[in-house]
Amino acid sequence: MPIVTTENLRKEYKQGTLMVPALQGVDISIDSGEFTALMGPSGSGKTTLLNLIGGLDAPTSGKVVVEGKDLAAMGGGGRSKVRLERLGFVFQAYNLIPVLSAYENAEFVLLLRGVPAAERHKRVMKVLEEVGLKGMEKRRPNELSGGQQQRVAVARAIVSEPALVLADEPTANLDSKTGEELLETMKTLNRDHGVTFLFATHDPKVMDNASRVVRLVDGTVREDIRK
Amino acid sequence: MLFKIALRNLWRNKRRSLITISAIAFGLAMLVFSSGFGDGAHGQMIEAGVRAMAGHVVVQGEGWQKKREMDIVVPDSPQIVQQLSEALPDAGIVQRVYMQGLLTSPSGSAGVAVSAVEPALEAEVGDLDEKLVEGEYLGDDPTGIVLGKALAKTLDVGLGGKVVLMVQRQGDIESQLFRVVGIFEVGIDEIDAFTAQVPLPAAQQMLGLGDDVTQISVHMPSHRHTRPALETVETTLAGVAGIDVLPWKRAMPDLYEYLVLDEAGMYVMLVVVALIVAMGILNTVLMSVLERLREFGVMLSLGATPRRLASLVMTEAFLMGTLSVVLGVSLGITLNALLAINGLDLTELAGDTGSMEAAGVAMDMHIFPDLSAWKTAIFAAIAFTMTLLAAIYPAWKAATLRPIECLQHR
Repeated sequence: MPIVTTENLRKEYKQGTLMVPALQGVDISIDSGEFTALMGPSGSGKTTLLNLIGGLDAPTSGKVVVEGKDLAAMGGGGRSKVRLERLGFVFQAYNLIPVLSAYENAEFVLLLRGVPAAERHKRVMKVLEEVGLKGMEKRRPNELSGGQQQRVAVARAIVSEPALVLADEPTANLDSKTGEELLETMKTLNRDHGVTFLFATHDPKVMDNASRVVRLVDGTVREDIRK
Repeated sequence: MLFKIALRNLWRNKRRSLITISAIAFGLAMLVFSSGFGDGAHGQMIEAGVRAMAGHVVVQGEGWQKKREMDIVVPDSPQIVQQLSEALPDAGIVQRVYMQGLLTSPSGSAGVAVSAVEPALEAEVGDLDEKLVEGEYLGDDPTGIVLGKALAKTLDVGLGGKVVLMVQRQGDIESQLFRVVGIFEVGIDEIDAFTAQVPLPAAQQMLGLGDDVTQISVHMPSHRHTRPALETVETTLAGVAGIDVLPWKRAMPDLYEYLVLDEAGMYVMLVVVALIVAMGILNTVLMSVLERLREFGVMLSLGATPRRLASLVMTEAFLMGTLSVVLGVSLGITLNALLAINGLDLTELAGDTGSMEAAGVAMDMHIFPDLSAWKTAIFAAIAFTMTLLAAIYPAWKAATLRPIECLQHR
């Protein structure tokens, strides 16, 4: 069973008196273990698609089905539960909680899930090591570089072992070397631990590393290439 | 974690949090301080009134309070004094006869209110003996009289001068000659121009009261002992007919009403301060929520429920309220304690006598605070509750945020 399936997904935004289409009937499905790059020019609907898959926004029509369950039928509480237990998010602007340390940011999701303290500690330390942040656990976001902050964001996204990590241009704010290192980290997580990633990206390096590339143009899937 | 985040969020914008906490704490401290100061002043007024005009508890002939007639006496007064002395061994118990009449001298006459007292005992519970500007207080001389300074001036008498007191009783005029032994000045025209004191036996003889009196007053260490004292007096005199037992509030209704009105004014101020503080808190908490929309969006995207965000906002308010209340109460208590060392001396404002008149009572303007623990607790509870109430709207706002709108917030 695919982790996520979208069925004729449409989204329109109101701009003044006009309704502007962002997605115009997208049908894709993401399987477990995939490393999918969602490519396309600005305004093609990449971020909108990620937001709809993550239940952060509601579609104008169509369906998002996560592990067999229609997100729209769940209500706000149900979608929160899916985000907490089955999805992970990495944002372009890192979006760490500024008052928490690297360790605490990664721990946050496990706390929301009610994971016991000893188990939390074990998992957080492991995941921080995996993303290359061992020894930086106590640093607050303002004490970390952009690349390090994004690594914390990746650690936070994968610490609860979600079915799918949604990453919205995770390398866009990083210099090319740091971006490459982060990409390599995520690739390793995918290859060695089977973490499923869906990226919205402009970055050709991500496309080169992806196992599947979905190209969006004007809110429709123009190309879907599995390597 | 929620607590940790809330605590750290509070210190994120240190200046704003400190200003808000200081505002609440300062407002609360001022309330605690003014309450202690006000209660101290009120307490001193009550004690002054009690000393001069009644007792913390009084026993009077039935109906005397309303009619004020000299015939209405406490039956078997010595027996009642004996009973009360046994029941309240630490209390000061004095007997008085109140009379109204005309005081004449060779040079003039004036209407007067005269209280006949037991000089030695009266000096213990009252303070008129300390207000003498000439001569001495009543003593062994059964015909001695002490007058207010203004009254002495009206009658144009000095020490050793003779005055005649005339009172009307049951249609007859009774009169008695007295010799001025002392002149007092309280600083209140009503008292200095119209009152005098004479020894109790003289009045009893003049009015034919035998051993009876119009009032037996019970003086406790402070007005805070009134309730238990009243209960003891009522129990002790339960079977006695023809008497009224009254606490000072009913014996001096004018003073009591003045105090209630004055206190009501303070509560109005409390409401105004509370509303101003609440608006300040609402502004601070709402600002802090609106500034963190993106962060709330991240939390929602990570799976935090709206209820959790609302709890976070309320926890921040809880912490802010707790800190403010601890600081405010500490500051208020400290100010009261500092003031209690030497009191606040406002006698300069009161002129030569150091007293001011309020509700017919000469109030000593050297004021010592008297902080009430329960009032302090109520003020603290109000400040804390207002802090939480003011955070409800921002918390509701946080709970109704849409994740996508928060994430798109710049």
